[in-house]
Amino acid sequence: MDLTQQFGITLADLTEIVIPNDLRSAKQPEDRILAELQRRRYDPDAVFAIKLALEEALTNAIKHGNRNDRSKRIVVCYCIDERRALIGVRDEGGGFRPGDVPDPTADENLERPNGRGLMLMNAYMTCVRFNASGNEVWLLKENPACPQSTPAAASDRP
Amino acid sequence: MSTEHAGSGERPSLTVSSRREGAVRFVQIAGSVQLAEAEELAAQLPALVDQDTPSLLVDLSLLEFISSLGLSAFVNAHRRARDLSGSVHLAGARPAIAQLFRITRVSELIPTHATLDEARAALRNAGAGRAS
Repeated sequence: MDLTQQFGITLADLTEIVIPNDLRSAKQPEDRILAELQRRRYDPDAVFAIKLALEEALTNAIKHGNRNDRSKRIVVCYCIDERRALIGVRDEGGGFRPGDVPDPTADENLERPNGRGLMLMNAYMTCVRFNASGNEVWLLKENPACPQSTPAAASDRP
Repeated sequence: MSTEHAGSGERPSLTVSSRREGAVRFVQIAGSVQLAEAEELAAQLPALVDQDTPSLLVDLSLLEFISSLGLSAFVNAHRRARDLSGSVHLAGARPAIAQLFRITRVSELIPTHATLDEARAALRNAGAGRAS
């Protein structure tokens, strides 16, 4: 994925954390990202939204992308400033097609225990982008408290 | 019964406590249902629904965060309760949590009440409906 074209950043702008493929290890990058958000004074609603989308991306990568294989790894990258938070999550799986995921809010799917992660990422983030193979996702949240955020992005998200 | 989830030396991030109130099991979930704790709750919560207590009343007033993995705990508990002719009722969710339940439409699947009193009244009415 061309990060410069998509988000106006380069690899040098990113902090990278590599973790083993398990949910307990996922807490490490999450804690570091949340600490950075606190440092940048993101409001509680924005922090909740970012934490939720990040957990959904990590859970999907661990359980579905890497199929709970403990020999595999997850790479988390992030770049956070006062205007926006950009987070990337990459697994070592073969990927998937986001368009193939059933709508979890459809009546016939409400009683499914799983399948809500992708919908929640899209609902809570300013934008969500997958690479071509689907094993890497980028989550962008514009800081609604920042005067430079666009009005449309600040108003139509939770 | 009370269960706490935390890493070694850490303040518990999640506490789940429950007690029996007749045919209803009252459950309080406090803290954050995230990552590994969410997976454990997904197994633990449905197991609280049984023949003696086919209904759950879950106090969410102290719940600070939950992901979709945690939501699956409630969906699975709902399905188990329904199979035993019981029900799951949620109460006191904070605004961000209530919004999450609405966005996913899980609030249409599982009754969500502003207060515990409202939830208890709904459970009583549900029990009266089944008895008549």
